Formats: sequence, C-alpha cells, structure tokens
Amino acid sequence: MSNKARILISESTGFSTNAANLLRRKGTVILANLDRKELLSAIKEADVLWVRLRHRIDSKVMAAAPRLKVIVTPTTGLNHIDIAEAMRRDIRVLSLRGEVDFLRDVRGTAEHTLALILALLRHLLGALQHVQSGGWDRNLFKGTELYKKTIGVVGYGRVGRIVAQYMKAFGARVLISDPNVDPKSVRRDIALVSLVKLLGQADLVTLHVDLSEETRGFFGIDQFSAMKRGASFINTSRGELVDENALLCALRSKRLSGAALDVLSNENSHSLKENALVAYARQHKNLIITPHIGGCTVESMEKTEYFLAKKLCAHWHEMKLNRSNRLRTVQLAHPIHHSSFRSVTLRLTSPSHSANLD
Amino acid sequence: MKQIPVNHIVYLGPPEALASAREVLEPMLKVVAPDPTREAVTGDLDDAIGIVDASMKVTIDRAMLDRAPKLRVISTATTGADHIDSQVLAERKITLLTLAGEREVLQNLTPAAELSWALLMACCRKLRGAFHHVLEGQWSREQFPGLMLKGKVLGLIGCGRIGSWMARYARAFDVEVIGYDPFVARWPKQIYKTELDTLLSTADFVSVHVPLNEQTRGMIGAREFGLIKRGAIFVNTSRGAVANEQALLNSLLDGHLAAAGLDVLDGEPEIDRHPLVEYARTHDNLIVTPHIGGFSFDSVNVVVAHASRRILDHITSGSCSVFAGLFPLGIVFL
Repeated sequence: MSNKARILISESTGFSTNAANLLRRKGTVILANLDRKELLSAIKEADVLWVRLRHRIDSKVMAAAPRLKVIVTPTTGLNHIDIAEAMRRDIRVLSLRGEVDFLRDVRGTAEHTLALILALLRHLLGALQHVQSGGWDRNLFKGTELYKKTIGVVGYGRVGRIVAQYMKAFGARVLISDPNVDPKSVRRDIALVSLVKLLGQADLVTLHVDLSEETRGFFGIDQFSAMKRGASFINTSRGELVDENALLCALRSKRLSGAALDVLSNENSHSLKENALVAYARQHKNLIITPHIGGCTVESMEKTEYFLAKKLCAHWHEMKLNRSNRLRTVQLAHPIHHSSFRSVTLRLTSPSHSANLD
Repeated sequence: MKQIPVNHIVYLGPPEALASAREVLEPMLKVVAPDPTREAVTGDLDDAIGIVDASMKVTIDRAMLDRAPKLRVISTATTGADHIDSQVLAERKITLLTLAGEREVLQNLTPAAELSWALLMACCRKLRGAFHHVLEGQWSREQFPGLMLKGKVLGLIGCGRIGSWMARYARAFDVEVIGYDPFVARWPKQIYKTELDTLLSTADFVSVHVPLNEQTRGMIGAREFGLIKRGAIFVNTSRGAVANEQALLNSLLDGHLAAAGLDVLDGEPEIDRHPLVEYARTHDNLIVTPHIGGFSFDSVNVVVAHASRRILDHITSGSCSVFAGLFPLGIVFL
C-alpha cells in the first residue's frame, strides 16, 4: 500500500476541481458517492473523511475507520457528526465553524431564505402549476408584500444579520430576538426585542439559530401560539429546532397562513416519505419545502471546498496525516488536548445563536 | 361624528378592500357597496355624490352617469380612466381624480418589483424543481446547485419606478446594477447607465420593466437574445409582447438562457396552447405566473384608501358645491 494518506470524499457530485487538485498533492483522493453501507466499507482505509450532509457520522462509522484522523465538513452546523465520539477517538473535525472572515462572503442560505419567503408570499408554486394546467386567473393568487410588513428574525448571527439587511431593502420593519447579541451591534433601524414580543408582532418569523442542546425543539406549541394569527413561518436552519407536530397543528388550525422550510428533522432518513409535513405539503400549497439547498450554490460550494482543502493542507502535519510517521492505531478513551482544532469542536456547546452555513 | 344621512359614496371594487374605503370615509360619509354589476350599481346611484372606482370591470358611461344626478366626483384607484366617459364629466363639471401623477403613492407600490425579484430568485435556486422533488419524497440536494446572487450583475431594461426598486434590492444583495432606459426623466443614481447591447452582453440577469408601446414592442428580439450572456437568467413582468417570444423560446431550447421567469405572455389570458406554456409543462427552468405582479392585498388596499382620501379631501375642502354650506371652513375631521 502506498504511504500516502487516503482522502475519502463520500459525496462528491460537483466537487471542486481546484480543491481536489490541491488535496492530490498531499494524498490519494477518492471521489465517491456512497450510501451508508458502502461508506462503512470504504472508510476502513481512509485517513480523512470528507462529508456533506447525507450521512450521520456516528460511532458506528468511526468504529469502522481505524485509520481515520480527520473529518471534514463544509458546514458550520455539526449535528450530523457525533462530536463526543470523535473527540474520544482523537478524530479532529474540520468545519466552517468560527471562520468569520470566510463566511462573510458566503450568502447561499441568506439568499435562499429570501427566495423561499417571496415564493411563499406570492403563491409561486400554486401560480406556476395553475399556468401549466392552462389557467390564467390572477384572482386565485393575490399575494402579500414585504413592504411595510413586520419581519421577525430569530437569531441574529451571521445569516440572521444578512436576512435582516435584505428585509430593510424591501422596506420592511425588522424585529430581532437573540439572547446573546450585544445591543450595540444592532443597526439603529432594527429593534432588538424579546422572543415573545417578536412573535406577537411579526407578520413573518424566520429562524436563524444554531442547533444545540438548548435550542433543540425550542420552537414549539407555545411559540406558535404566541405568533400573530395569519403570520408565516420560515426555517432554513435545522429541522430539529422546531417541534414539527406543533408546526403542523399551527398550519391546520390556520394560525399560520403558510410556511416555507429548507430543513426537516428527519431529512436524511428513509422515512422522509412518511414525514407528516411532506404529506401535508402534497395536499396544501401553503407549505413549501426544498431539500436543504440553502448553502448549496455553485459558487459557495466551490469556494468552501477550496477553503477547507487549503485548511486541511495547512494543518497536514499537525494532524499526523503522513502515514510514514504514523503506524500506531487510534487511541481510544484518551482525553485529548488539541491545540488549534480544539476550538473548532468545543464551540458546539456554546449557546450562541450564530447561524449555520447549510 | 354624524354621517350625512342621504347622500353617499358608491364603492366599486374588490370586496376585500371595502374596509379600507370605509375606514377613510365612514366617519363622515355613508359608503354603499353594490355588487360590481351594471344593474346593481345603477340602482345605488340616485343619491351618490361620489364614486370610489377600483374595479375596472364596470364601464361608467353616459347612461350610467345619467342615473346619478347628484354625482360631483369620481376617484379611481388606477392611473388610467379609459372606462369613464370624460365628455359627460366635462359637461356636468364632475371632477375626475386618478392616480396619474400621484407620485408618492405610486412610488410606494412595490408588488411588481417584489414579484420580479421573487422570479429571479426562484430561477437562481431552481425552486420549481426543488419543490416537486420533495413532494415526490426525494431529498438530493446535489440536484439543485443554485446560483449565488452576490457578485453578479443585474441588467434593468427600464429604469422607472419598478426598476428603481429592483436596484435597491440588488444593492442589498451585493449585486451590481446596470440599466438601459432612453426615456426616464430622472436617472436613478444607484443604476449604472449603459446602452442596450452592452447591458445584454454584460448582465448575468436581465429584467424588463417597460410599458408596451410602439417603441418597445418586440424590442428584445432574436438579435438581442443572442447578445445575452450564455447561462443568464431572463425575467419579464411588464408585458409579454416586449419580447419576441419565439426568440425567447429558442434561447431556452438551445440552452443559451439558463432559466426564465415570466409573469406576462403575449395573448394572455388565452394561453393554453402558448408555446412557452407548452415548454413550461416539461421544463423546470421556465416559471410562468398569471400576471400577478401588481396584485397584492396590500397594494389594492393602499390605492383604495388613497382614492377614498382624495374624495374626502375634495368634498370637505369646499370645492364641492353640494357640501359648501354643510362644512364651513375650520371643521377638522379625525
């Protein structure tokens, strides 16, 4: 076997050529598209696992990967990776978390949020289907505008800030709620309020909150009940933030006039077809769902992959990725004290409402 | 405050916006809202001193005006008033108030610009395909790599009111804006002025915001679509006939345009066999909506409230002889 480290890219459709070329200077790059079974087999020989969002990287995956030293994920959210298990096994996780300068230029999710909002408010899905069936009756699709509306942005992190800025351009009034934000860092034309007040006043509520133990399921019956009757609800962050049954009830009871989602709690499982929200969306045009494509733009994927490839190469030695000087097996149950990558993983427990890329 | 018991205002318009008219007028005047049919309207005209007209469905001709002997003023929630007999108005000195020239209220009507932006974003993010994909129980995000707006160039053909709003949105998204408009009186400062050919060959997104007239009919023809950058997105919410639709279709068919979003078609509303609709039935990269651009709850309410306020102002200012004695100067209406 070659001495070169093996870099397994488990989801590689459209993977950046520049990033792949950079990685090839350091190791053997395997561009693949694997289901879970194939992943469990292919990972045996991998030193680096590069993922997107298809797989949950849990203890079973890591147990099948005796050589694995690094997991690379082009996201700021890390809920698809069992971080505690990775730490226990001395596997480092390379992500976009905390990469403030880099993320400033990545707008995919914020832009997609606006695309979904406008599509929802103007009944785009129903309207285009109507035309395709030969109809042309505008009276069926009277929309609502953003102009002069009150928009509630929950979570004023990276994405929330950009979304709020877009909303100002549309002439909307913007309320934000975030327990961790410094009031001084808020634009003067944006009001920082409590979540309850935001929910009671906003015509549209959009979530831009990191998933953590504190925020899991935090948007439930009480929050939907506190919303204005007829308001809209948008989630492009993580499905697990929301009690989906409560959302469904709020749609059925007409408390919400509509919702747009780019994320579902079980989006990567085979039971997606049985997700009650997907079933509702088949019958009702006021719920629109896209398959977690917020961060998925040609430009941001290319940029992100190249950025992470550079980051990986820069820390190559530190991560002991040269096989020649690393013949030991992975140490288990060993508390670790990493230097530069410690911050990357430990940030997961921070309650910050900064937002995620994907 | 006491209402005028006999004389009233007739409201012609969508029922949803009636409350907006009442809110303005009813503290002072009785509002009658007949069904928007000729017969029903005629029956309510005997005591009408004013009409708030937001329907566009009922023609206000001589026969109808003859049934309204007390009529002093008509206020329309539209800029045009082709459906009203202007000669009768002149003969009887009935005042006509329209939205034409009401810059302030028009400037704040955003639904057409918002829909244009919605169509642009829907094309960039392949929303149509993505929606249907999920409804089929799928979840493969790789199938929908989107275009990021930031850093792209938007070309606006027509830089009036709607174009200016588009430019404002574009700036918030860090999209550069270039524009072509030989007629606009005040050039919006956030738009970089170009010639049409330069615009077409430079812009990543081309959006049309011009009225249809003899100069603009077919102005985006085969030559122009050929100049557009390969992979660009085309949006039209103005009038279908501004573009040569066959050339547009060819541009989609040969993959020159990445996608298009249209709210207008030449020949609408009879569109069932329209070639672009036929194309849209089988291709996710064309989104067609049924002329919903200017149509929102908010905008209808805004124009109805405005038209109502103008009628109230007109009547209470004393310029209306019927009321000159009833409302002496100095009465303030709250």
